[in-house]
Amino acid sequence: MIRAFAFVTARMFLNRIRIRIRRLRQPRYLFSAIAGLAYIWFFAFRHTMKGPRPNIGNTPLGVDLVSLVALVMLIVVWAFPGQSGGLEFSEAEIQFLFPAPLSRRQLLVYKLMRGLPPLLITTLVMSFVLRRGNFPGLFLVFATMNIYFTMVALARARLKLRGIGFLLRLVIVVVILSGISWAVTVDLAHQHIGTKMAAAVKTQEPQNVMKAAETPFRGPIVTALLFVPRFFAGAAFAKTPGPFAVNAVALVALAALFFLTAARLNVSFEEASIAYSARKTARRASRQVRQAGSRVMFPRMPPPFRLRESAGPEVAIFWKNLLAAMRISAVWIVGLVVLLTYFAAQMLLSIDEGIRLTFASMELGMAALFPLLGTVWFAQDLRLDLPRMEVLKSYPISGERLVAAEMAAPLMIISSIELLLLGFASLVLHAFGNSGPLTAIASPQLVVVAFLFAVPICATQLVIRNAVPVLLPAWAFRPKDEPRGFVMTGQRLLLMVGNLIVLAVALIPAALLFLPALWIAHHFFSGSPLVLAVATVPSVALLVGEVWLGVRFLGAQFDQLDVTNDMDPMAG
Amino acid sequence: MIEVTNLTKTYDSFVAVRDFSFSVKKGEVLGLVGPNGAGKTTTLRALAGIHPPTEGQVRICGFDIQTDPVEAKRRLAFFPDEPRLFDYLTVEEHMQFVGTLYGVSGFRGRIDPLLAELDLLDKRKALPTELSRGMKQKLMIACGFIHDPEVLIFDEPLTGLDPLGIRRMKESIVRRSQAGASVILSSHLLHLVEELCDTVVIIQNGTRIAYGKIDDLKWQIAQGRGDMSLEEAFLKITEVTAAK
Repeated sequence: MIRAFAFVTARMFLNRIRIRIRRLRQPRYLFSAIAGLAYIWFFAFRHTMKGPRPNIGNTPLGVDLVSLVALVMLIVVWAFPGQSGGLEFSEAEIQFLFPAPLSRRQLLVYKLMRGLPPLLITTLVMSFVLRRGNFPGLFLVFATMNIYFTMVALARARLKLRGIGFLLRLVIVVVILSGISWAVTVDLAHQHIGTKMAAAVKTQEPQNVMKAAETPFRGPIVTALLFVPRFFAGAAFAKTPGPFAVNAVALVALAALFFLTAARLNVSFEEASIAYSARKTARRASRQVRQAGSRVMFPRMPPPFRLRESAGPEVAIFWKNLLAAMRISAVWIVGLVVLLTYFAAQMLLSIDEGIRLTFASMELGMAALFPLLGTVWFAQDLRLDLPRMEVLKSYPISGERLVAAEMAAPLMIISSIELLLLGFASLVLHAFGNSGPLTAIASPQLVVVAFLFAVPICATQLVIRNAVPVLLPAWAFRPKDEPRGFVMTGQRLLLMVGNLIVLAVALIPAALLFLPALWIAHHFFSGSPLVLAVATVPSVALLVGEVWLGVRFLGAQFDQLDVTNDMDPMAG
Repeated sequence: MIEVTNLTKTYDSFVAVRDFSFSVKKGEVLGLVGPNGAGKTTTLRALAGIHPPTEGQVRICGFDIQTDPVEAKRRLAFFPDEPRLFDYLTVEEHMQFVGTLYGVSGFRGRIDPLLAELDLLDKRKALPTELSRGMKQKLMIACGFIHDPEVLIFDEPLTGLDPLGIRRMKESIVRRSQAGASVILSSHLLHLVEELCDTVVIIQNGTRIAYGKIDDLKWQIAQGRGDMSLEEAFLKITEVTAAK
């Protein structure tokens, strides 16, 4: 049976790696993987390439500290709330293994074996990338801990059957930890640790300080308490084969003991495991819904207006998306209202001009960022309807009109909030500000310019966001077995960078047009407060034209979009 | 009402449907049957304008689905095998949305009878997450019926329905075809096809292998034997074609 389990475990592990590698043949996964790895390397691991870093785990004090952490973990796990004995099995495992002629002990063996490949990956990352501990020692530590946690999970269920529930266990663990703390405190007091530490610090020698810090771990009580945990730390951070062998043998013996105990507990974990698996599946589904931005938070929110029968398909789609925004993203609106009210109170009621200016500038900053953030928070457009693209394609409406109608609701919401942010900040700065640079920004001329640009910029950003499901549906579509980890990070990174580049490119023609327009406006309206507003109009018109062209282009692409090819290639 | 001429659909080098032709007259019910992966869903999706055909022509009530998609789609209702509903709209709001989308005058008066016909009246305020799979399927069907389409395209319409739902569904299809609607029904339930359809087209590996009135087809395949069921005829002809 062990051979069968080993075969399944190894095949599952290897197949998973093979699938991930095969997926890299698709450019979107390849580019995402490269971007994700580059990102992770840049932020997390680049320091590891600069040579060995001081590693506290390799010092006696480090081993002591790790032993202490291990001790706390070994105790605290008894106070965990789970007491059904449910072990984690996948749905397929439940379907195949539970009705199979296998004993409970064999199921336990399988469960523990199946946990080894992920531990292997964790150990590889820790020992070779993060350079923490030695590979075989760390692997042994994680595997033993895994068996121990399984044993404790079953033991908690057995204790429950004997009438010892979560609260009582919690009290016992707290009492034990308190007792240990008290004993350690007494032990430390006997050794005059405070005096020794003070003396060591006075010498200003790091070695002396380290030695003094190790002293508490050499007392009789602490030594006794850390006897077992030291095997874990000793195996993980052993520098020579001798100590490693001793600690490894001890850990193997402990692992065997934990396993035999778990097997002897003979807790009926099948039913609880099925419930656990169902909960996990539900949680995953809920997470997918949340990530797709379609989680309905206010299901009883009434429709924004009554849909007239002759309103037309565009209004129907606008109504649908507005209702979706209210039911899904109302929390953002409420949050923004609360934040703005707080800002407003600070700006209007504060007597300190510095505070007023700080909050007004924060609000201006929010206004500058909102076209980017708002389009993420209010995604009730083609992005939300992507899983129903098949249904959208069957609607009697041209692609161009559908794209425009899909974007209308988020555009209205985002633009309204943007204008509100701009308007309020400029009002406060203008009414109460001093003659600083912020007040100059809030001059009526510049405020008019900002107002004129606000809606087209929000619309441009929405066109860019909606281009992803139409032009690159595979990038926007989340399959059930969507890649995680660095591939997902890379995908998001690429989309974000792509978004910013396209937005910048879209704004360049308007910016270039502004200069001659300003010269001409200055020539004809010199001295008039209307100069800036007049100079802005051609740029705004150009931006509106770009949005219109974008919608037309996306509409034409939507009409040509092959839903089956891009999202469901297995359709028969 | 439905004319499919030399329809071909390819994905890269894979030919899903090849040179496929058939037509459905007013009031006729056509069964589209074939083994798994034969190209049935691909054909139906091309008919509904969900994906463009690589070659060939699809006309719905005289309108080309490629050159005049809006007019063609206005006259048809497509019922996919998997109901895809809007999680944030209630049953009633789905009906209102689709009614306005298709410009149906007086659709509010049609909502209650349709919901009653499909046993959803007490669920009118429910969100899709509160519905079973069968109820979602019924809601999808109710939405499709609201604009009284002239062409109905069903992809496995009975999946997830309870016995009463199946009976009501069959009655609905028959009633609408009797009222003049053209129906295409794709299903693996051959007894259902035999019960509801006038004509049948059998597709295998993307190619039409049989097409005609069900009785004629059975007679032809059975070579004069009168007691052959559609299931037997289907198995015989697909086996023969696969052997070739």
